[in-house]
Amino acid sequence: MKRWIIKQVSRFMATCRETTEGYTDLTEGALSDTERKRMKRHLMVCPACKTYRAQMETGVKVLHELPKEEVTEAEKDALLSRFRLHPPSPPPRKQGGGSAGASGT
Amino acid sequence: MADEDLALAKRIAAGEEAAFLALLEAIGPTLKRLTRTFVGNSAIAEEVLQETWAAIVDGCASFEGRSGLKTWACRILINTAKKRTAREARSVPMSSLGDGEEHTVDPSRFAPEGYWVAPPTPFGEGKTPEGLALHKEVREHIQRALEELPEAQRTVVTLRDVEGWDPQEVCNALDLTETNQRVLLHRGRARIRAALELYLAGNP
Repeated sequence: MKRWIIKQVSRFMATCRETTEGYTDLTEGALSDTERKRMKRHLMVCPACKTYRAQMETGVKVLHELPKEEVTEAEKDALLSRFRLHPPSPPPRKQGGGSAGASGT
Repeated sequence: MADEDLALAKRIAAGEEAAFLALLEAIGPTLKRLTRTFVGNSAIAEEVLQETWAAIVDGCASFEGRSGLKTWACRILINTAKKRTAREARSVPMSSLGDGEEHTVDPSRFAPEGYWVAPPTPFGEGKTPEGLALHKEVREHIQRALEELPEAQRTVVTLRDVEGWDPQEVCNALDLTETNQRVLLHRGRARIRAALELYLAGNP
């Protein structure tokens, strides 16, 4: 009897396991209409899967809030002097004897 | 955007410093973070980053604008990093999903019918996703979990969730199919979630 009920229910909504395995397919919009509806129905009624969803969302939120990497002034200076020393080929201007100071600003 | 990128590349190819600085400002932080993702925090990272920038500058003349400068530069970085780490033979092809099956949640936590027998514990009193995201200890915990992800997952999660790229950009930069990108994202996020769950269990 229990099995029969579970079978009927799973036609209508996803199981917890399906919901956890397919959760990113849902958020990325990669599910068929039927599958999306099955999963959404499940998420409406299952507290445990709501917690799972909240934890997934929190993880993403925390990742998004991680401090941004910064290019330091020293790194910027190093890269810029390298750019000046090895300009892309072909060089922007003919290498004259005293033209190095012209690109000062 | 593609036109702007093409124009910027042309100006860099012509040796214009302001254009180079503009690109450095736009993608410098991302490239730096990605370099760390590939080669860690070593002295090699510094060299890889410099080599990458040199290759970007040289490549600007032949940049055709078929993808954005950001994804194009990212591909250069990957190639440079791969060359450097090839000797260590620790890098896997980005397109590989690793071991065939990887469960989002330990299967033993579900009954055979697919319902939780060991469900995740709800957030404690007064804990909200927003609040947790601002919590220093939580951040450090998640940062470590991110660093411990397998390389392909770590790269995808970094680009999508830390850097905020859209799926298509990630596919282009990493030569991934949409499906594989999504699978790697899911597995990575699932491991991050598991780490969060573990942290919350220890800090109710």
